[in-house]
Amino acid sequence: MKNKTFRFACFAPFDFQGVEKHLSAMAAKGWRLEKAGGSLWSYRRAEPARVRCAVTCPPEGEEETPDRLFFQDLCASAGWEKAADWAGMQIYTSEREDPTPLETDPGLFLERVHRSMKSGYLRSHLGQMVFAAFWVLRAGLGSPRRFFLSNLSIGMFLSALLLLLLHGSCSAGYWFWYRRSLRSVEEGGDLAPLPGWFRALSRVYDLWIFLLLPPVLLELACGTPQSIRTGAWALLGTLMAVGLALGLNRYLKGRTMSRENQAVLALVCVFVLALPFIEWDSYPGPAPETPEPEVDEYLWQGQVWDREPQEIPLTAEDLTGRTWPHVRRTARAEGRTLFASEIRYTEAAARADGTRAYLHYVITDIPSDRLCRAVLDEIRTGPSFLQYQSEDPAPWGAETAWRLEYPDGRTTGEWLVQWPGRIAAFRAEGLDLTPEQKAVTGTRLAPEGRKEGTR
Amino acid sequence: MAREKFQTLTEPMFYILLSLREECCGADIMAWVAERTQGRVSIGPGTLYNLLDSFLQAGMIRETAVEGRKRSYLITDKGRETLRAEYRRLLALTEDYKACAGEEETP
Repeated sequence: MKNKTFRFACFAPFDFQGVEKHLSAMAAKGWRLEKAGGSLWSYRRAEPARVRCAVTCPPEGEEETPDRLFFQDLCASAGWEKAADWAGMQIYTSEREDPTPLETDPGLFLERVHRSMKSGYLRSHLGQMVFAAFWVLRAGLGSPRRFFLSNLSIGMFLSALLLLLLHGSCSAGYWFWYRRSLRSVEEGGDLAPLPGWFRALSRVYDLWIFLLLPPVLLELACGTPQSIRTGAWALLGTLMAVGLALGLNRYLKGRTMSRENQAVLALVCVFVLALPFIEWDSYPGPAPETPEPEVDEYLWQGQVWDREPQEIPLTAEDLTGRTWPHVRRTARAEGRTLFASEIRYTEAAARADGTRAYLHYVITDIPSDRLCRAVLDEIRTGPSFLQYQSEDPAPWGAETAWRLEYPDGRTTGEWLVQWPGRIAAFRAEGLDLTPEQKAVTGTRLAPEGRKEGTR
Repeated sequence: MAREKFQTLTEPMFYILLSLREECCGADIMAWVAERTQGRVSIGPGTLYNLLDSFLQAGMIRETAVEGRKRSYLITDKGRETLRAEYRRLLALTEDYKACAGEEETP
């Protein structure tokens, strides 16, 4: 027969009736509270008994201060034994038939509870709201292209939004309860009971950390190889941040720092630790080293070339109609989400006489017109001193086309071409595109439904 | 406008101050009040702790002894004056009642 059991007890620290009812029911079944952790409470086996339970707000300070010991002594003389410390409150039990209640003046009790909640519960929720708001704002004010191409960013944004709502609801719920209790006390009544919806919310709140997991798991399951690495780092970073914050909290517990300062310090630590992994999703990773040629590659003139180049939508051969004997191609998915996907293609081509051509194009598919326009604007108005100048889109068979130019009007070999639902950023080095070549490019890079209309 | 603290006393405040005309510890106060009022007024330990703390801060009582966890208190002159003022207030209430409705409704 086991002598110890555990229960998830997701109560708000001012849900006195909920805690008292729960503990009395457990005692009637033969389980006495041993330790009240954050949400996981442990119980030891005892004889089933009718036990009265009460939650109260102890004097401020650490566990063993003279004030607290005096308070416990007063409680003991009224027949109440301390069962556990919990969330800044204390839980007492009494086996007396009709003990004097711990609190006989609801007004005074409410005043103390409110003081305690302001320095603990509300401060913690407001601090975390600031944290979540930072995350939401970061997504809202940041690059739409980067945001909509990353499952991690989208997921983190949704999680932060949920957290913001959750912490806001918890804070509002407390104020709602406090106002009702104040009114009741002023009319000579007792503290107001907690509404059922708030109990359900408290249960969700205790599991809030798990809200961070879906975006990370989504990224691990559906992301590109690079973003899977990012997701794994984010998961590790989250666990490290949480672990360090918990460790720090435990370390500080025995120190002379006040509870409020501990909470603020722990929050600052989580915030500072979280920043690096927030930024990881935009970190491109270390610059690739010059690779050694593998089995299907060879070295020629100090450069690695493909023996059997992979198929990509547009090649130098398509543009020039000539054969390029040495070719090196890459195709890399930069991001893939429900809202957008992006693939970056490169081709380096060389001929025996030393002629070289280099193609680099990024195809971004965005089904939403509004989002497509936002991303297009972001690319066009980027931080570069070069500027995109509009040009005739007809040769490309596109809706709009721009060419990148220097401020003095000199042109570059870089274009931005847009079809409904697709943007292609195209750069050609060693090739000066003719209208015919633009038509070929348009045909190759346009989305499936638009290819017929080109040329 | 908010009333000044301790301008009027609640029943627990009144009886705690009354009990402290003689040196008492916390447990003794609770027992004395229960006995004196025959159980009509009971003071819980949470309420007692806070009222003692408030009285101390207001200079209405003073700590006379600390033995381990046990602390004893005694009323001060300021506390006696507050208690007397409350008594006068209660007397005035009683006199007003008697004057207005006392003749026909006095039990």
